[in-house]
Amino acid sequence: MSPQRNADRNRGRRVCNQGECSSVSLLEVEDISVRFGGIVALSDLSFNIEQGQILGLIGPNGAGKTTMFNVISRVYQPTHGRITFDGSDMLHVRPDNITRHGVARTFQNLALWSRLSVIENVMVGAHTQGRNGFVRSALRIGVKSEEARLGRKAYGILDSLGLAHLAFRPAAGLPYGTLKRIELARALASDPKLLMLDEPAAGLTHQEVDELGNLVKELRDRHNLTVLLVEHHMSMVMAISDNIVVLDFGRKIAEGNPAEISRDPRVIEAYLGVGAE
Amino acid sequence: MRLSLIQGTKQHRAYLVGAWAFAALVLILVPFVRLPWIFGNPTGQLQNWTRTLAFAVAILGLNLLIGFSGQISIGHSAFVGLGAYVAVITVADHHWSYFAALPVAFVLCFVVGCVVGLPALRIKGLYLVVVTFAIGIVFPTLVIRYETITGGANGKGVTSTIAPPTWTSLDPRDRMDPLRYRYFVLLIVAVVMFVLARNIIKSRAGRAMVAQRDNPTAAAINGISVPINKVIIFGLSAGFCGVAGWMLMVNQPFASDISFSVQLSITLIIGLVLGGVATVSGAIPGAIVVVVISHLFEQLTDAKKLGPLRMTWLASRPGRGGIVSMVFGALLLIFVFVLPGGFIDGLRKLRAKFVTITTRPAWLASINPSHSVPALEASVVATAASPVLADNSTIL
Amino acid sequence: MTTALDATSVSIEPFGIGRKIRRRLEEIGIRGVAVTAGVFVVLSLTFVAMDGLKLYWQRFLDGLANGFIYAAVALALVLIYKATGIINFAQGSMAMFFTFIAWVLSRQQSWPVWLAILTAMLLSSVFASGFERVFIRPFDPANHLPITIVTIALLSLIDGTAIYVWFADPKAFPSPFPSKPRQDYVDIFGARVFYATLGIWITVILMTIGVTLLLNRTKIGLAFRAVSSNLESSRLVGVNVGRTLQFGWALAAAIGTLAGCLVLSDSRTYLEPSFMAKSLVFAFAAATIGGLDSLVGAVVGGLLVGQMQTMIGGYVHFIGSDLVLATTLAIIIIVLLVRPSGLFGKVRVERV
Repeated sequence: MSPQRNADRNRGRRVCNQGECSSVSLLEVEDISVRFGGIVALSDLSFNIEQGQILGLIGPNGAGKTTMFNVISRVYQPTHGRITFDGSDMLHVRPDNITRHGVARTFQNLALWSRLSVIENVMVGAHTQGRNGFVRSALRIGVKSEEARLGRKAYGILDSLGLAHLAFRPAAGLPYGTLKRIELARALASDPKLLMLDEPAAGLTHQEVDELGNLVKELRDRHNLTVLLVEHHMSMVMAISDNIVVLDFGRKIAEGNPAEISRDPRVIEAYLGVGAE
Repeated sequence: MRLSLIQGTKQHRAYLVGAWAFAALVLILVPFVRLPWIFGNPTGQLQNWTRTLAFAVAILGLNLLIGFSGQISIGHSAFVGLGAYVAVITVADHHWSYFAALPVAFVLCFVVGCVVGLPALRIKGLYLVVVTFAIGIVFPTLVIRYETITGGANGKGVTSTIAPPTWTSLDPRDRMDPLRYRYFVLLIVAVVMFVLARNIIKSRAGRAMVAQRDNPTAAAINGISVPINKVIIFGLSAGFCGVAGWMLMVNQPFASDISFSVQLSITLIIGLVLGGVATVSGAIPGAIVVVVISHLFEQLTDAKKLGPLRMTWLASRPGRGGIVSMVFGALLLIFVFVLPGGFIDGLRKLRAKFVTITTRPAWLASINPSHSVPALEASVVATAASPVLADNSTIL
Repeated sequence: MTTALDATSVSIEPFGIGRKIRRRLEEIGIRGVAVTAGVFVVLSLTFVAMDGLKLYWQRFLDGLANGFIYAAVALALVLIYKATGIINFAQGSMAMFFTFIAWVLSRQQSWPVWLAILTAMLLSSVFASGFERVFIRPFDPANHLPITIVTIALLSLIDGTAIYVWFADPKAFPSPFPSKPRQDYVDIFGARVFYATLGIWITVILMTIGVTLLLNRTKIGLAFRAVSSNLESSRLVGVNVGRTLQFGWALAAAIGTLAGCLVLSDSRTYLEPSFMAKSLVFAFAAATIGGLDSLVGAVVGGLLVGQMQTMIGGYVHFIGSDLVLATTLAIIIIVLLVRPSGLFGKVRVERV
C-alpha cells in the first residue's frame, strides 16, 4: 500500500526529466479526511489534477464523491489533509472566494435562481468580475457600462451553448437538460481555471449525455480549462477523462487512465454490488 | 387588443414616459384634491397623505430586507423610532434644522442596523427573527428609561416646523400652504429613496441580494459574500426606516414610546405584504392601504370628521380600537392566500393582459441585434412575475 | 402506518431528559459546561456576598417561578418550531385569548376554575388544529416567509378580537391555587414561597412530564418525533405528516393556554389583552437560548431566563428594573453569537 501511495503522490508533481517538465498539477489533494459525527465520509484521499486534464471521479453511491467536491469548493471543512490549488492553500479560502481563485462548480441538484432570468443567473456567475457595490449601484456610478459588460459576456456564453434565445426568460419552468446547461454557463462565466462538474449527465437522455461529453471536451479546449468530473455515466467518463480516480467507502481504490480502470479488478468488484452502468 | 412593446424602441419609451408622467401628475395633484368621504377635514387629509409617504419609505426599507434579502424582521419599528427621535431631539434641544437631521438619522440608523445585523454573521434564519423581535420590544423601554432625553411616555415634540421659504409664494400662516410645502419636500425625499432602492435592486448588488436569498450556498460559491451582504442590507433597510421616522416627524413633530412599538413593525409588514413582497413600487399601495384604513377606523365613530362612512353602531363599544387589528389581520390572511404577490403582482398580471414588454437591453444591439424570441416566450416573460410568498423554488 | 413506523423507530432517539442532557452536554463540550456553571457559581457567590444568603435564596425561588412560566411558553414555541419550522408569533395571543375563555367560563358561567382551564385548553387545541389545517398546511414548510406572515396575521386578528370583545381594562382571574390572605405561603429555608408559586412549579413540572410521556410513549408522539427529525423520510414510511403536525399545534396551544392561566395565578397580574406580551418575549428568549429545536433546551432556557430576570433586576442596580428586558436580551444575543443554535439546539450541516 505504502509504495503504491508514494507513486500516486509523485505522479502529479512537477516531474522534470532532462529539463523538460512533463506535467504541472493544478490541484493537489493530499490525505483529505472528512468525518460527520462518527461517520467517515472520506479517509486519506489524495490525488492530483494536471493542468488541462479531465479527471473523472467515480465510485458507487455514497462513496464520497460529492463530499470531496464540497471540500474543494469549501462548503465542508475536512478533518485533516491539504488541498493546494495553483500554488495556494485552498483550505484557507472562504467559499465566496473560490471563484476569485479560479474554481467554479455546478451542483448535483440544480442550484439556479428560479426567480431570476436565465441571463441574470449567468451574470451572477460573473459576480466577481464586477465591482459595483451598494453605493455605486445606488448612485448608478458605472452601473450601465458594467451591466453591459457582464450582460454581453453572459450572452456570449449562453450563445456558445446554444441558449441565447432563452436569455431573457425566467429560469423557472425550463427543461432539466437546459437548466443543466445554464448551470454550466454560470460556472463558465467566472472564467475558471478549474471547472468542477457534479453529475452533469444525471437525468439526461442517452443522446444528451453524448452531446454533453463532447461539449465538456470542447469547452476544455476552448476555455483552457481543467475539469474535475463526478459522474455515474461510465460511458461518458470513459470517453472523455484523461485520468480516473475511483472511490469506494471514502477511500481511493484505483487511479489510472480509462483503459487501466476498466480492467482493474478492485473497480469491477466495487461496482458489482451496485451494477456497473 | 394587445400592445406588444420591445424594450428600447420608441414606442416603449413613449409608454414609459406616459406612465411616469401619469404617476407624477397624480402625486402632484394629491394635495389639491379633496376626498371628503374618507378624510373629514382637508388638513387631516393632507397630513395623512404625507404620513403615507413616510410609511411608503419605511415599507420600502423593510422590503429590501424581507422581500429582497429574505431576512425577516419584526423590529424595524425601533429604527423608525430612532430616526424620529434623532429628528425631534436634534431640532428641539440642539436647534438643528430638520434638513441637517436627515443625514444623521439615516447614517445613525444604518450604523445601528449594521450592528444589530451583525449577529447575522453567525445566527441563521429564525434565530435572527427573535433578535429583531427583541430589538422591537426593547426600544420603547429604552425610551422610557432615558426619559430626560426622549421625554419618555409623555412624548417629545417640537414647536418649529419646516416652513415654506418665500420663493415658493406659499403663505406660512395659511392653514394649508405649509402642509402642502411639507408634502412636496417629503415627496422629493421619498422619490430619492425609491430611486436609490430601485437602482440597488437593478444592479449587481441587487442580483447578489436575490441570489443569496434564494440559495445562499450557490451564491457563496459564485463569489458573493453572504454574511457581509446580509449585514449591509440590514443596515440599509434600517437607514431607510430611519429616514421614514424623520419624515414622520417633519409631518407631525411628536414622538412617544407607544408610537414605535412592535405594533408599528406589524403594521409595516402588513403594508409590505399588501403592496407586494419583493417589489419596489408595492410600498406605495401598501402604505396607502395601511394609512387610510388606520385613519378610517380611528375616526369611524366620529360623525363630524367622517361623512357617509361613519359607523355609529360602534360608537358605544369600548373595545372598538380592536377593529383596526382585526381588519389588518383579516386582510393579511386574505392576501397571503388570494393575492400572495400583493397589489403590484395583481397589477402586473392585469397589465400583462394588455401590454407585453420584451426585454432587450441596449447592449444587446452591439452583439446580436437580431436576437429573436420565440413568439410563445414573449408572453411568458411578461407574466413571469413570481411572488416570493408563492413557492416555485422547489423545481430548481 | 404502525409497521412502517416501528421500522424507523430505531433511529429516532427517545426524548428522555436525562439521556438527552447527557448527550447534549457531551456535544457542548466540557468547556461550555464549565463556563456556564462557573459563571453561575461566581455570580451567585457575588450576589450572596452583596446582600446575604437569605435574600439570594428568596430571589432564586422567585426567579424559579417566573422561569417555570417562561419554560412552559417556550415549550409551546419549540413544539410549533419543531412541527412547522417557524416561530409562532401568535403563540402569546392564542394563550391570551383562551385564558379569556377560561375567565369567561369560570367567572361568568361560574364553572370550577380547573374545569374552566381544562376546557379552555381543549378549545384552544381544537382551534389550533383547525387553524393549522386551514391556514398553515397549504404552504410548503420549507418556505418560512408566508407561514410567518400567517402567524402575524393571526396575532393581529386575535389581539383585535380580544380588545373588541373584552376591552382593554384589567380583570381579576380566579386563582386555581389556594390563596387565602396571609396564609397563602410556605416557608422554605427562610424564604417565602406563595402557594400560587408552588402551584406554578408543580403544574409546569407535571406538564413537562406529561409532554415527555406523550412524546415518548404514544404512537402520535413517536410520529411527531419522526416528523420533526426528518419530514420527508417520515412521509415516505407512511406517517400522516399533516395530522402529526396538527397534533403539534394542538399540543402547543394547550400548553400555551395553561401557561396563560398560570401567569395570572400570581395575584399581581391582571387579565387584559396584552398580559402575555412580557412572558412571550422572555419565552422567546428562553427558547432561543435553549435552542429552538430542543424541548429540553426550552425548559432549561426558561429557568435560566427566569434567573437572569430576577438577578439582574435585584442585584445589578445601575441597570435597574426598566432595563431588565434589554439586558436579558443582550445576554441572549451574546449567547447566540457564541453558540448560534442555542445551548441545546442541533447544529445543522449544510447540504448541497
